[in-house]
Amino acid sequence: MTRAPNISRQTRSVLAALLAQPQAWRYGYDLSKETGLKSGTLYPLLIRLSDQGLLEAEWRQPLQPGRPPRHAYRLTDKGAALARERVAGEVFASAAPTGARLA
Amino acid sequence: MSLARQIAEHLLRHAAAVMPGRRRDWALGMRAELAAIDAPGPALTFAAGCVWAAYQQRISPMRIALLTGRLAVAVASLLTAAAHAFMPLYMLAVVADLKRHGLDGWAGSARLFRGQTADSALADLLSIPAWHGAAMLGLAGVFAAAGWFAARGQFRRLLVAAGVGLAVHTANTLALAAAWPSPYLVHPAMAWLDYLALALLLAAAGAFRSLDRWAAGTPTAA
Repeated sequence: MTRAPNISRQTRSVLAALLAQPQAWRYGYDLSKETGLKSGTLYPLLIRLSDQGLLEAEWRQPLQPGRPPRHAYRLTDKGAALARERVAGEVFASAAPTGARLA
Repeated sequence: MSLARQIAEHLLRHAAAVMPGRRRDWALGMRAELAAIDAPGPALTFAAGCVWAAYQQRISPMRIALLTGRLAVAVASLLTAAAHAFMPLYMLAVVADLKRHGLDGWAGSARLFRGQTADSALADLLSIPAWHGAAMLGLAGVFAAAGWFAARGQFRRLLVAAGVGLAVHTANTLALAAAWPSPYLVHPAMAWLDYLALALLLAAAGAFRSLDRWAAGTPTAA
């Protein structure tokens, strides 16, 4: 049985934010506000996820006229599968009762 | 436009300049995001983070390790080159001093020549073939070139230099084996040291070349 690679807390947070709306295209600044990650942390994560084929990027026309197109991101099927596995695993782990609670 | 906004725009231009070419879309994406942030304060914070992100793409820990390794090999090679150049030049200086001052000069006072006459010392020294000195200077050139190539990240040339060094050193050692033992001629006994240095250079060139290719590829740890 192969063991999935460890991922950081920040990566899990980004995966959870993207997984919340898996079909929606998300913008960098919005993700930064939602996850609380600074752009200096968020963008290297997004780039890495994209390099690994877990994230796809696309230029989207803005809703407000006069604004430039924005770079938007969403999970690929592979990314969504990993996110489900990792984020669900995290929720399960945090919800599991501890020995102290049982005692 | 507010000052904070101007600084943010300037920072984003800098981030785009720093970002590697293959990440151009990401830099453009950051600029587009900045245009979507209306408040100057958050725009400035966002732009500063983008500069940091761009530098992270440009300078990875692997690249720093690779550069440190290359410079260490370059320094070691240049020191080895200096040692190889020193010996034949030192011997020439000793011969010149013995010829001019006999055993009364700085060279004649060496423990090496104790109990000898100036003529016998000179005869022993001159029995060392001149082509050996030339080979030592050639090896000095090889090590100096290897240091230069390592510093500049030219790993294929580093491999070639180490290969040339092996050929020169082997020819020199085989030729000297016929003259061995000879007074003051220590080369055959120390030949393994140069083989070790050249083998390390070959290994370093191969390792650096592989690491360089790997570091230029995609990072895998999320």
